[in-house]
Amino acid sequence: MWIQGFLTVLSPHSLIYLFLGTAIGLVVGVLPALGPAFAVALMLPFTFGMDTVSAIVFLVTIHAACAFGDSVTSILVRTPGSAATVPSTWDGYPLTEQGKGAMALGISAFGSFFGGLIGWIVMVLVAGLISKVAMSIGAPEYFALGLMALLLISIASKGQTIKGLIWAAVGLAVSFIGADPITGIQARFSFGIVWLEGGIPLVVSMLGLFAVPQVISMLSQGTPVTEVQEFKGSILSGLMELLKRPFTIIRSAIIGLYIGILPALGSTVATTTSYLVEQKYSPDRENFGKGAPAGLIAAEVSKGACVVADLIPTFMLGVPGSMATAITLAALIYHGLQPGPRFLTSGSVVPYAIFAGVLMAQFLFAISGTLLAKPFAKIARIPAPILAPILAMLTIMGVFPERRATFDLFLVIGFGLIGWISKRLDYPVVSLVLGALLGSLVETNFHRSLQIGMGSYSVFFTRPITVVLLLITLAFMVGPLVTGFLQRRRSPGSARKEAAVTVELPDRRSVDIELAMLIGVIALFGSMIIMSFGYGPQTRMFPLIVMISGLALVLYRLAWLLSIRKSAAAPAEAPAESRVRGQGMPLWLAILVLVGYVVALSVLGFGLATLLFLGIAAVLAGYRRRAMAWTVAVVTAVVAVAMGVLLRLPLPPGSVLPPWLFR
Amino acid sequence: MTGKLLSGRAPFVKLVSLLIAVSMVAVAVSGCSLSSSSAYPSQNITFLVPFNAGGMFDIQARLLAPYIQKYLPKNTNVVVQNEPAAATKVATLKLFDANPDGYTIAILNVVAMSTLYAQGDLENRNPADLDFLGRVNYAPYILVVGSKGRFKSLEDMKGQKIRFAGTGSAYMQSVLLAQAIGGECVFQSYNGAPDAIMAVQRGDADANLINWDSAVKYLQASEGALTPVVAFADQRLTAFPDLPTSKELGLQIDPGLMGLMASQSVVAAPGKIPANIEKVLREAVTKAINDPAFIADGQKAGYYFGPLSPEDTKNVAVSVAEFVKAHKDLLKSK
Repeated sequence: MWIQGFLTVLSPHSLIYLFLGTAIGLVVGVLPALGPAFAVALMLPFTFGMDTVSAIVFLVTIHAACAFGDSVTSILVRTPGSAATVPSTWDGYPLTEQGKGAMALGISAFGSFFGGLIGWIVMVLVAGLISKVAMSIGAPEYFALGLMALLLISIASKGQTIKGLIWAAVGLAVSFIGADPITGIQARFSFGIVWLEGGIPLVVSMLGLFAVPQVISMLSQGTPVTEVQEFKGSILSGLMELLKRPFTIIRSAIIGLYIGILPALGSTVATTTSYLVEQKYSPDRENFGKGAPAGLIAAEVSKGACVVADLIPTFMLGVPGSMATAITLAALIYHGLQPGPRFLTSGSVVPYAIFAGVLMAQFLFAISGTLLAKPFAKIARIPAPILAPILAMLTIMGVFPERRATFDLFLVIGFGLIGWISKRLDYPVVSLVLGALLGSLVETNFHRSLQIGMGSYSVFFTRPITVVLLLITLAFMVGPLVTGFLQRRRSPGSARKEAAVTVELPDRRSVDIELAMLIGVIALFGSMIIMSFGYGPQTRMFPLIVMISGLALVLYRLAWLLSIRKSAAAPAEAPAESRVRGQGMPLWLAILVLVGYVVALSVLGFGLATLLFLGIAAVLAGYRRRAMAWTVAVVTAVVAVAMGVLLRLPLPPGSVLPPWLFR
Repeated sequence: MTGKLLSGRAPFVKLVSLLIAVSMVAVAVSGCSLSSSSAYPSQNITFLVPFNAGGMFDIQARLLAPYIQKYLPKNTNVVVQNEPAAATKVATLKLFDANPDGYTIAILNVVAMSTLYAQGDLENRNPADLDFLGRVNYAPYILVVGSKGRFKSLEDMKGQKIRFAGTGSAYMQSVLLAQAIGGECVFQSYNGAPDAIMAVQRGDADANLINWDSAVKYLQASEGALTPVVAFADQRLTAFPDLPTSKELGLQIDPGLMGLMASQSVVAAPGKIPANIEKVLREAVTKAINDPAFIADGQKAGYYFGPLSPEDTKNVAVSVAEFVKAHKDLLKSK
């Protein structure tokens, strides 16, 4: 059966779709913000006319190639292709800054490949077995898993506990916006805005938190990502880095597999978790965030494994592992294929051909990645005044199709400001991300668990897997306290040494900014607390707990800031962001230009607004050759509009000028 | 060369000429179809789908679109547009407020629309004001239990606390069904039908109300772990000849509730479309949903299409909406 499967997939007819899928996936993936779900959804209608094997192989290949392509912009220009590749920016981008962009891409290509390969082997060998286990993962187990993942916040906020917890609370608050966890019908915390009723799409918050600050900082600093002329390291050096760290690969693959197999947990959870776990255990942990290959490896391997593992519950249980696989599942069903435990034993060669196709897809994107890495890496050298506005444009192109809402565009900038403030005040964004990702997971499954146990909390203590997970969580929480205690018993002097390490005090301006920010957070928490009382007791339980604890932490921090404010030092003479003379624009102007772009989009429509924005931003950011700047602006705008037509991307239409003039 | 041309002393002129050039290119590139005053239809028709790509209603719309296209004059394209935001609210409002020019239609889930109506999310809009063009899918619910679960039949459940699993669109029905048999519903809300069914299989929930065409697939895949208990239809379902109907089991179910106990998707357009345009649209949709090839396509994908005339469709939609509105207390926050 296997041989027949491979032969089917390698037939000229299917090969075409393998290559086409890889190409499409790569192109869409490299466009920031357009992730696998979008690519697969876009191509779904085309597959209705295809034969079954080609259709599914096509979709699966697009998915895999897109997931890889997403890493490219994350690494090269710190603009995540999807929420899942955000962790790739944390060490991938610093590597690019150091001129090692090609090596980082090599790590990405081969890392994703190894992850995918391991995922494939597992899928083939033990899919049936794993499905049985996956069956017993219910709401209480998800709740315990979510709690365990929330613990990772403590790793993420090492050294900045209060800040980390405050940001986690904000992230959790963001996740509570949306449908209520009990009936799924009511909208919570929508502040009267219809676009908040369904919750905030992940692509909006992730891109806002990571892509927008990047654009702002590039616009205000004016320097390109890297000025290194010679690219150190090649793709193969990336492979070497991988081979030097087998344990990292194994750890990350396991996490990616695990999370992929569980429906409801997507690749973003996989990559974030894998990164943080690796940070805890890697001998290289001091360098995480500064270009540690281990960090990038962790993110990429787990992503590769997760993407393939997502197919396991999809094929074997009919329960999709992610949005992209949900769409693939629809295609499966449309073609009359029955997902389920009998998937492989139905007697047809089709499932085997599909599995063979999944493997081929891994090889294809790895090979194309290797070939394209050096050319891609050159992108990092494009001058910032040109590149940054293009990234902003691509972000818009990625966010708008999600819901066709201009509101989302403003929301992206809002999150961008949050991301910017996080950098400025040294608040760990990771904690916010984790809160946003895990909040609704933990809350929804908590309530489901109670319904399963009919109101009794014993449901958490009578299910073996849940109990084990909760004990592990407890061990992780208590462990450090115990070891710390034992250490102090053994050497009483060390405690005093730890306390003597001075905490760097913020300067006066930072204190003021932080105070303003915290007042904003108080307003947020306060209004949400008031809104909670309009909901039923169960619906408001979690939000109230989180909000009130968050409020307490904020007030504590506020008090501390006020106490040191008088004695805070004046800010350093030079402005915080170093600027090459004549390059870059002031921060407030960068933000104004971005907001202006969004407003222009809704008034003038995509084509014209983008043209004006690209030109004006480049010139204001200090690009001297005006004619060149405007030429690039025109060409880019035209290409973007053309791409929008080709990919059938919905783009902002104007309201002032007649609609037929612009898309 | 461009340098010489543009190196004049009036950068503003440069800018303006650039803008004009771009506008012309944009027009050419965007492949505009000017909506001239020629007879209807003269441009694409937008087919709004308030659900995600790949979901049940999305697939139905995508299967239907080419057939509507077939019966419309002049090669008019029917373009599916997914717009799931705010639990179908955004797209539904878009439909109500769209220009009554025959260029916007939508597929609606009767239950979802009724829920919006009942909760006041449609503000002052009334479903009766829509122009219902026909029904696509009609799949009565069946009640499924775990074969090794607490309850093996409807009798067992009478007077008991029953744990229902389901998506938000099955919430009201589960509560009312429990009430109808003197029991109480404890509801677990899941994001999708597969997750809800898994919960029953696992034993986390006792029962699940699910449309029968989806049920066939899950029952097969479960290999005996799930058992159907009753069908909510007037006659026995051909796919489940041994499954008793609610009527046979002596269940007293309000006709309004029976309307809710089925997955129904309908095609609708905004009200008050000029009669001559509406006629063309209506005929195209009617022919499309009755086309045997379309029904066969649906069966291949596992859907059961039960086409209804526009008048009957409207009756169904409006009666379900009014029923849900009458019971809107059930939708209050817990």
